[in-house]
Amino acid sequence: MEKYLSTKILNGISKGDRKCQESLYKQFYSYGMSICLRYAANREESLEILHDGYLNVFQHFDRYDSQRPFTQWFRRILINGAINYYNKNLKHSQNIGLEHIAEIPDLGKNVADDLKYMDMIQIIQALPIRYRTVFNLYAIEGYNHQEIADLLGISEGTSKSNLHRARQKLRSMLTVGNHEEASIKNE
Amino acid sequence: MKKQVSKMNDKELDDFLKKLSSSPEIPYVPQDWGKMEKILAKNKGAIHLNGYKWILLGSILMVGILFTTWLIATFSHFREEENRISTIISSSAKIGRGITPNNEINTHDLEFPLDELSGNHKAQTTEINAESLSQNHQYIPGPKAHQKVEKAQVPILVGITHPKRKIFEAFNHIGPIDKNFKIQNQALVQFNTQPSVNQHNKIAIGLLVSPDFSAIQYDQIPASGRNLGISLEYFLSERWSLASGVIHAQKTYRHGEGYWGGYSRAHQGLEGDCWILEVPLNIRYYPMQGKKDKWFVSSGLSSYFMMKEKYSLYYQNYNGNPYSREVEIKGNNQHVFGILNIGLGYERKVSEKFALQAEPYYRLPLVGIGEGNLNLKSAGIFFGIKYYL
Repeated sequence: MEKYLSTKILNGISKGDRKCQESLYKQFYSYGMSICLRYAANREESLEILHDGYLNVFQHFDRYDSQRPFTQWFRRILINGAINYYNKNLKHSQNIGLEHIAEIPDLGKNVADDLKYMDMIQIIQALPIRYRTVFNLYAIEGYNHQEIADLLGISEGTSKSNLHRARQKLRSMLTVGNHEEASIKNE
Repeated sequence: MKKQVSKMNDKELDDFLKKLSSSPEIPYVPQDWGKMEKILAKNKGAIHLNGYKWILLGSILMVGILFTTWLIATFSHFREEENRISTIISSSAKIGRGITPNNEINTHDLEFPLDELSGNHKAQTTEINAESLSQNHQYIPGPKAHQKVEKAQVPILVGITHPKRKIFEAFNHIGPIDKNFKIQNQALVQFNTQPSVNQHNKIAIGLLVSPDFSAIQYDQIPASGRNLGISLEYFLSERWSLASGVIHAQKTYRHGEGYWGGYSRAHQGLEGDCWILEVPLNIRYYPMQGKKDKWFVSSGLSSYFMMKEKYSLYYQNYNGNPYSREVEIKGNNQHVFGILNIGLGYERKVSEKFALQAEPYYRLPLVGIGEGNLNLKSAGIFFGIKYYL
């Protein structure tokens, strides 16, 4: 995937050209969705976060430094959107449980390649929002506990505790979900 | 070598999921772009509101009127000076021509525009009197009203060669001889040296305070905000002035259902607080002026520089449970000349320099205000104290 934007896209987005907006949307749809799916409880809510992020991109494109990869800026926007999503859903989030995992539509293409990714997404989405957000920020994005505490407005201890419980839940779900075959190359 | 998930340590589990989540190929769904387009259509930057084009046209017209007024005010001063001089000259000439021996002098013919005489004219009159006296000619005091007096030829003043003074020659040749003749040692023309109560000062500064009632819809007015500011008023003429200033405003408002802020779902409610630096630029007209009172109408455009916006947005999630979203934006939205001002005011002088004023106002946005592009209208009453420089 190309991390930088072409001059045509850069100029078009700056002028608010709808065709260029669509090109950009298409180009980074998969990248953006892969981030949002991990933070939301289902696909619809992932799309909300994604669209919120794109809206910020289009409305504040003047803040983008074209010397840097677009993915870096876009990722940051999406994570901010995910934190907003966390704040608004915190009080009403429920532990869905494996039996209620929402089905992610099987869209056909490269199913074999994506299968494990989709399994993982289903499991992560089944986590309570507190655990899910902390796990994503720590394990996938690489933030430390102090940074997570600042971002989410929690204590460092709570962040550590949520991460620990997230891992416990994940292990449990991977076992229950007969994902014991999941493996990594331990070289 | 493969390892079972249940036997992975924390780092291995994290790495496993991180690797799995990196660069997946998620198929593009064209319908999702359709949803995005709808969101974009609703968020086109600052939305133009309330007949923007017509009001913009009106503003251009207003600037034109303002400029014309300024021109008139500037050049009318010079014209008035010319008129005064020519009035005096023509009145004097008329007197001179109209007087013949044995004619009756009627004081109505001698009506100088006394009130309009300025310091320069006073000096001119005084100079002539002084010359008359210094040359030992008979000085003729002004005739008394409706009094028949004898006329006599008066010698021509010596040394009056200036063309402007020739017009006085005829007048100097004749004049009534009063039996109680004496030298007039006071000016015939009385000049009012006392300033009028509503004298024409060029600049006034003021302090303003006001409650502020802001709303997106007229039936949704919460507790009031407030305005604090300073004003500067420059008088183009006695009746026209240009007023500006800086006002620190805190506006509180709320809204029912609507769409806001990029989420594809409409909010159920909104509560907003914003802190604004407002810079108005108004033209004022004073149609009614008493000795101590003035009434004015005021209109113009304001610029809002949003310092901080705080919103609480209330939603319902997919399960129907309510949740809220707090948004805080700092210094992100500026609306230069984006708000129309209308005001009507009363001013009362409390001393020579100070005046109190009250001005009910209304602010109508021409563009969407703040992060949510809101049609935020405001009203209130400015109470102020004004100091004339």
